Amino acid sequence: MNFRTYLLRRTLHLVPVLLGLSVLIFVISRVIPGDPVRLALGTEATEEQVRQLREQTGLDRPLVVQYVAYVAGVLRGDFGYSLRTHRNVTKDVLEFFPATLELTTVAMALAVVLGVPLGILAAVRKDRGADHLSRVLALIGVALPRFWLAILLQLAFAYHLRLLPTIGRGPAPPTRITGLYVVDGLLGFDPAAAWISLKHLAMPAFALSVGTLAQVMRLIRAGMIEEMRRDYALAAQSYGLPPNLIIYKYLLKNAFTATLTILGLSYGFLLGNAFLVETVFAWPGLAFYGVDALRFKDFNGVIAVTLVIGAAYAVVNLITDILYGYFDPRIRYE
Amino acid sequence: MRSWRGLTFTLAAMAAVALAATPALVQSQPREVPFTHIETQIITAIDPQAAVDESSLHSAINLYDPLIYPNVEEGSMNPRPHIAESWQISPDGRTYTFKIRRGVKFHSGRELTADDVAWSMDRMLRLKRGFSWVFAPVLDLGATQVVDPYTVRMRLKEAYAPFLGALELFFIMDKNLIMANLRPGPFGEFGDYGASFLERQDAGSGPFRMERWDRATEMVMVRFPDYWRGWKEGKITRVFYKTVTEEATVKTLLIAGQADMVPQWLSAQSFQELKQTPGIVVKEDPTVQLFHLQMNTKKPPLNNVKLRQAISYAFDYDKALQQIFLGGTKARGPVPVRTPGWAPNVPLYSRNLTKARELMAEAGVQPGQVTLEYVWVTALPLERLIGLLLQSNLQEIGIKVEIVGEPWANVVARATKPETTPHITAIFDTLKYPHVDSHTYGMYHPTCWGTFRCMSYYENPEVSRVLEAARRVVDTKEQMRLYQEAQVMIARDAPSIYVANPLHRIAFRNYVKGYRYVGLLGFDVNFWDYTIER
Amino acid sequence: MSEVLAVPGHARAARGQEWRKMWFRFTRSPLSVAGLSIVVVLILAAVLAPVLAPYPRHAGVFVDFDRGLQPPSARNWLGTDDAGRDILSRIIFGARISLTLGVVVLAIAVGLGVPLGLIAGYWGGRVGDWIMRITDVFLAVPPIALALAVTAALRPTLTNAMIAIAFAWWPWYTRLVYGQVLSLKEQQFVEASRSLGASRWRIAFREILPNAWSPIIVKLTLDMGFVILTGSGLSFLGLGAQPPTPEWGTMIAEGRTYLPGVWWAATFPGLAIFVAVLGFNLLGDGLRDVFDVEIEQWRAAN
Repeated sequence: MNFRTYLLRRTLHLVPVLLGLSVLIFVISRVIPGDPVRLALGTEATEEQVRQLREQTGLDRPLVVQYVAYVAGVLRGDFGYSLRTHRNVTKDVLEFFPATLELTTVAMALAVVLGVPLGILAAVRKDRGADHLSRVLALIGVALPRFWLAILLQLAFAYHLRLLPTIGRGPAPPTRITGLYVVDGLLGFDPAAAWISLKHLAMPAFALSVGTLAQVMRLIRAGMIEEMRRDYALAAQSYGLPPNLIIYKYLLKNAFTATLTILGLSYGFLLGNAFLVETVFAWPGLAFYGVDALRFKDFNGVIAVTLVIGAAYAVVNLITDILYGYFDPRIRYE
Repeated sequence: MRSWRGLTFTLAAMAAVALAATPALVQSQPREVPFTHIETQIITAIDPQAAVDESSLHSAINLYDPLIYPNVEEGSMNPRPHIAESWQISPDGRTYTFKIRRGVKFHSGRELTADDVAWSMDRMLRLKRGFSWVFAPVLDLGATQVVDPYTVRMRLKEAYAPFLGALELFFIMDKNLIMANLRPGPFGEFGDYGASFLERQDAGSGPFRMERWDRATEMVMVRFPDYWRGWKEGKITRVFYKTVTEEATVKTLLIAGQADMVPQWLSAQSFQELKQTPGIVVKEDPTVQLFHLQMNTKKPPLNNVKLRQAISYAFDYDKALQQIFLGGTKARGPVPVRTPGWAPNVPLYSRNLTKARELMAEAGVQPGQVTLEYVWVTALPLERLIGLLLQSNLQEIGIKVEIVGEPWANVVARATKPETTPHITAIFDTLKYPHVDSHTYGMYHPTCWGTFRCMSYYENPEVSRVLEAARRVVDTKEQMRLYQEAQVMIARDAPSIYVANPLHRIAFRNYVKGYRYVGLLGFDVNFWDYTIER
Repeated sequence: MSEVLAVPGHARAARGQEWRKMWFRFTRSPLSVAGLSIVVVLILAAVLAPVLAPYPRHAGVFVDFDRGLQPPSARNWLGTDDAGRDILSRIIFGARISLTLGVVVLAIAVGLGVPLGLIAGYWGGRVGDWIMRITDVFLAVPPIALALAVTAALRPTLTNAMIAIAFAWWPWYTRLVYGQVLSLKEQQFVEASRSLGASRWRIAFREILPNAWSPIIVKLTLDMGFVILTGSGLSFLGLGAQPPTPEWGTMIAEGRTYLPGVWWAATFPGLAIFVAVLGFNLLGDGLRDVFDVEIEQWRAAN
């Protein structure tokens, strides 16, 4: 099939998945014991007040009706009312999501920027010192509990060395366009603000990226080794092409496509680990918001967070699939 | 050259003018005195009439003015004039007439009048949040009337001893400002009653204005120059009120000088550490706070009073006080020792395993037969340690304890029904309004059931009768006698394990002067009270 | 791993030889051996905890506040926590908890996921489609997010954490087995069995499944580490094991309050998690290397 059909098919595939996810999460959240209406009204609310608010927010209607109303709302961009923050969840999501987006994107970028060169190095120096070291590093990276690493980094760089800020995102730069502080700082020609934001990002992003970094390293290494064995590489070498050219032009491109799929999967794990890293660093992102919503039994908050994370994950997978399909036409014929 | 001379002359003139003007400029603009306060909970409500917990009270106290203020200058909680300059109470105790102070300006520039006061009270009653429950039983909508622009009259349904003190929690809002910024909402002609507006701006008359509120992380408050109590040199001009949930970080920020004050909820060990740090002052004050383990008297087997008494005799109070609280006073009954109205003859429980086992036998409970659920609030690690102590203590008499940590919100949710309320729950209870009624009627009369203060579901018709009478009595001596009678009866029934009246601790940098603790939640952090002396 | 031969005795002998060959290949990699050693140590620690731990009582109901927050010393090699309990002893007992968590979760995940994958792959059809669609839905969120959502619905206990993680984990096995079955379906030996008249059930469970085991075993081993990681993450957030259970994640959360002055309470339990995950990863990698060779050889032979 041609590329456009592939694109369309893959995108449409998203819909039933998200729909199913919404049903799943909706059912789970409504099963949650505890009464958010009472919580919201405060400790001394009367039965009458509780009944009124329940009616107002529609929590007294049957589950199916609630679900349909909810989906209709989401399609309009309305995630419902949070009984915890006392405002529209959509507002909350828009406020907290950019922080998580910034964190995960920088973590992903770190993983690629650090992982690819290390992987190449390991492949080129196969079975020698650098390769073994990189293998060890990769193993450590995958096994490290992200939240523990976060605590250790905090201990070293923030508490003892006082080089980096302990927690949080820092002050928002004066210009608010994207909600991504570093980008906003640069867009507003305020390098000082961007620098402060970067300092706040350093530890959380690194802690988050470690596992993915390790995986990228291993994949690039494995991919390149396999490519190096291929006929065309040997042929190029025997023709006397400079080795660097071979590495970057041919081998890397082919190895990279293999890595693409893992990036999509890794993004999911990045999002998952974001819950723990954001908690340690009190990073005001969606995952942080989600943990609070969970603890508070804030239905709408929990559903919104899960849906948004699910959607983000699915979109990233979609993008990687598309890129993969673009680079490797064979895939489209599945 | 002519142009040169001209230029030089102009510049010199400008410089001269600037130099002459500078003192004037310096005088008109106060030196910037920033202040960073760290709190471990986020501010949940920005509406002073929805505030119940500490951080929301902090914002209410600094952005708004209550009608009456606790007498912090004399170190007591008793009411003294504030927005209300003076008042008169009718002999039957049902009519309160307040004279409103003149010249109090709102942040919007308007003067505060009786109209705003009456409107604010009705708003609180309609909103039905925050402390409205204190007023709702005795005050109807419209019972607060404007007599003239500076006089307000409140007509109660019946005499109510704690009323005056409770007004310390009644904050006055700018009626015109809110009415001009209403959005659609559930309050009919009042729309959302300003909920949306209040997220960006305040409608108060307090010493500070809300400059910025970043819900998850911080609120910035800036000085209101026309505040009716005036300003002095060295007082704070801008407050950064930040939320930091990690205790280790809070400590580090204070030690590094990046914060000026930290909250009372750090662990006792952290305060010990801070005490030994140069440049930091740790202030310890006895409180009228009660830390107790509430026992659900409606959940078997705790419906058996002998079993509850047995448990009360098994707990190691001394260890809890010395090794977990690291100070404080042992609790004697439900009312904190320093509260006027505390009964000195209240029965006391201390660790006595023999008696505990005896009572357990009398209760008909065999060792190994019973498992109890103990719930602690996850934000307060100290409660976890108390749980471990309780578990160890009760194991000695053959009762098993399951320790479960729940976030505060879940504890509140579970407290709404006796079936969901745990067997034992650890609760810090602060005096809600400055009256012994708060710790007696407010906790042991069936009207309070369903809240976190009444997780014992205590029901004793005799006690209820005494408490109801006490509320209506006008003579103070008789009032106190009745409250004391009730306390003795309550303690005998052991609905809680009364552990401690803990020390209130707070830490700040040594250049912060003027901190005073009076025991009423939140009133010690009125940033207007502090002076910075470097 | 062995070919389907008609003569049983010969098959058994051949299989025995196979195992020996694999073991030899396995031991040639020092990392794999290291992984195996770590896992063995963990299992021993779990089983022999009461004997190995210097203060076994500290892992249960015990308080000694006088000795709270002591730094590592001769008396307490890894120091004490805020209730005065020996951290080393609690870490050793923690191995019990973590291993139990891993085994229970994966047992449920396999018990649920593998049959579903088998059915979806071999029978296919509408049932298969629906199974895979549901699997896709579950896989649409990162597992920890799903586990979090479920734990919030239930009371925070270790058991419920196990249920929640299993709830999030089974679809991975379904997908794995599904892929395996699809590729194995067309193999010769399956054709052979079918032509002999074997029922679909028999083929599915007695022919295909045994040949799909190796990637499942590899995944199981690797997953042990990741499940332990997820479980400790949940406990760290307070949604898993409750006091006084010496779960590694809970211990980190409890010790965190006392940083930076008291660093041992939060650091050592994390080290334990790290070592456990590393061990299972190394072992899993080693197994995969060994099985991969086997598969290649087998494919070549067929």
